Amino acid sequence: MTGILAIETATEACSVALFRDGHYMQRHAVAPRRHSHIVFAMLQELLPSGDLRRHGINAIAYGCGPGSFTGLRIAASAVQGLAYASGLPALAVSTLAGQAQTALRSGLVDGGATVLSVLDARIDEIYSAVYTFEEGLATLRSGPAVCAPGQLELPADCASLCAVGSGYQLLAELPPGVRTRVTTAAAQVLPEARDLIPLALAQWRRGEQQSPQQVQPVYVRNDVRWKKLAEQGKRS
Amino acid sequence: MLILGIETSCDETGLALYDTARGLLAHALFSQVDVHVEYGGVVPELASRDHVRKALPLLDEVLARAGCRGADIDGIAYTAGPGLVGALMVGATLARALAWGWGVPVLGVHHMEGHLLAPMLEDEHPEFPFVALLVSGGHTQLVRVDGIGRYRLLGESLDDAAGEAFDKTAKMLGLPYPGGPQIARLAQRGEPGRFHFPRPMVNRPGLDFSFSGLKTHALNTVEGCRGAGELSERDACDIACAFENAVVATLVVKCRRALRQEGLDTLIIAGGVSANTKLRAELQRALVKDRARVFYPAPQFCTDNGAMIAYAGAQRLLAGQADDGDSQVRPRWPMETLPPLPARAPRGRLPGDRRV
Ligand SMILES: Nc1ncnc2c1ncn2[C@@H]1O[C@H](COP(=O)(O)OP(=O)(O)OP(=O)(O)O)[C@@H](O)[C@H]1O
Ligand SMILES: [Mg+2]
Repeated sequence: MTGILAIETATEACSVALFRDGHYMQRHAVAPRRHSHIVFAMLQELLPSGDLRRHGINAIAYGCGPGSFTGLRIAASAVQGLAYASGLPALAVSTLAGQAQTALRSGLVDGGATVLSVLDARIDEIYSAVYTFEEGLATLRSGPAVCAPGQLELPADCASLCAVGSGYQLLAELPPGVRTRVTTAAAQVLPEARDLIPLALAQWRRGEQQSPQQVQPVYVRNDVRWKKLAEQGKRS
Repeated sequence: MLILGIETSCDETGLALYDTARGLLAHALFSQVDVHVEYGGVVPELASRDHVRKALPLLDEVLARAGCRGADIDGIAYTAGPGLVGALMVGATLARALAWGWGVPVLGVHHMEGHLLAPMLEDEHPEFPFVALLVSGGHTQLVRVDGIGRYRLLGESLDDAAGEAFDKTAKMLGLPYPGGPQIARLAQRGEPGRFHFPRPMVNRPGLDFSFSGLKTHALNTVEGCRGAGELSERDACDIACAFENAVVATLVVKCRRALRQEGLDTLIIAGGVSANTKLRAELQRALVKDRARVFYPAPQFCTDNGAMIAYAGAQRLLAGQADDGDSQVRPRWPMETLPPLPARAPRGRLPGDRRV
């Protein structure tokens, strides 16, 4: 039976989960700015240190983003190190998909719903992606994207959507055509590591493993708003 | 004890393997200069992103060069500060995760202690006590060093660091980042007598520095020469020469003063600016007269690198120090607060030591 360790640190929540012998264990805390420290404390509570293979782990899953840049790097660096030291593969799961999966498990949306998973991306923008559930697993319909809420575009065939996640506060600014299609909303959801695991297991079965070197954040926002010399208007 | 060192405090990713019985086995460095050059300085977010991409390939490289396996590693040292918080976090998290997986101790090392101990990697290395001049992009400090972790700050820059002054002046001359080596290159073709730059604070007692006035003087000189047109190649060379001479002269005066004040005859210089050949030559010349000696790191260990972190960490790990569960990165971190090593702590083999 497959054993998975999962780490999710992309939002103000930080969680580490373990799936072994068909059982889930998880540590979860909302601890802004303390992830780098807490993630190892959580690991310590779930497993003794040392070779993860000896403790029945076959792969390490991580929330690869989008989300807080620093948070994404904490998960990626931690998984790089754990996977490298233990000679294990990694599984990259979208944080937005994980969040949709958390909403499903918590009963905030039902299995037939179309989910608009959103995260606050700061500077008045949101990260978003649309999912439906197939056999209980969040399956990407569109996105992920970063944009101002007023710029959000949805696939034409999504008649009614459930919006989940911290980006929800900004939904008041959605274009009217989109806003009227959002029927229910759950802003309080935060992605949890244990909900990465069903998605990671499906990826494992499809052979979508990464080597430790391939473990990288998916930032989605790739322009970092920093002016190049040529744009700084300086005489050289 | 085989120690892995990881440096990610700024814009270089450096990894190294140091063996306390055999010395430095391998080191590898990726410099992000090409990433930041278009911006005229380090962009923190881009630096952090690059560390995540480069760290593991460099780890593969040092292991291959040293002919070791990951499982041979007995401890890990990483730069915990001072530096850019996001960049530090990458190295710290990777180090802790590797240490977790291998079940070995891990220790956060002070970046400037790394610089300060870099001369110990050389065959000809100094003995404690000595005076250290740390001159880099972010620091200009004179420190009395009585042993590892036994540091007393004698003086420091009240404003810009020497390396920063080099970088800013280079920018005024239209030279790319980082400016230190560029200024040094132009200065070689400059005419020494044409401009005279002030020697800040040399006539005042004490061991502090100030380089911001020099920068302003450079700006005024550049503006004066430029007039309405472009700065000529010759003007740029002459300004670079006058600027470099002023910085070097100031550093030399303060180093001699520090040695005299402390009654010591050994000086080490470390940090990026210690790669400057004029500084090395002038210090050598001045200290011979004082019957004192000066030591420096090999040029590749003057700027940021993993070897100095592996070395500093190795000494402390060998003495039994390690992170507890609570350790965090420290973007600001006064070096004087570091714990001293016990007087009789075991010491890793130094390159010049006779083999046992
Ligand atoms: N040959 C040289 N002459 C003068 N300055 C130099 C030379 N080579 C490098 N430098 C300067 O050294 C600095 C880089 O050194 P280093 O990498 O040690 O600094 P840093 O790591 O950015 O800062 P810190 O170590 O204080 O955090 C730059 O300011 C660079 O211009
Ligand atoms: Mg440095």
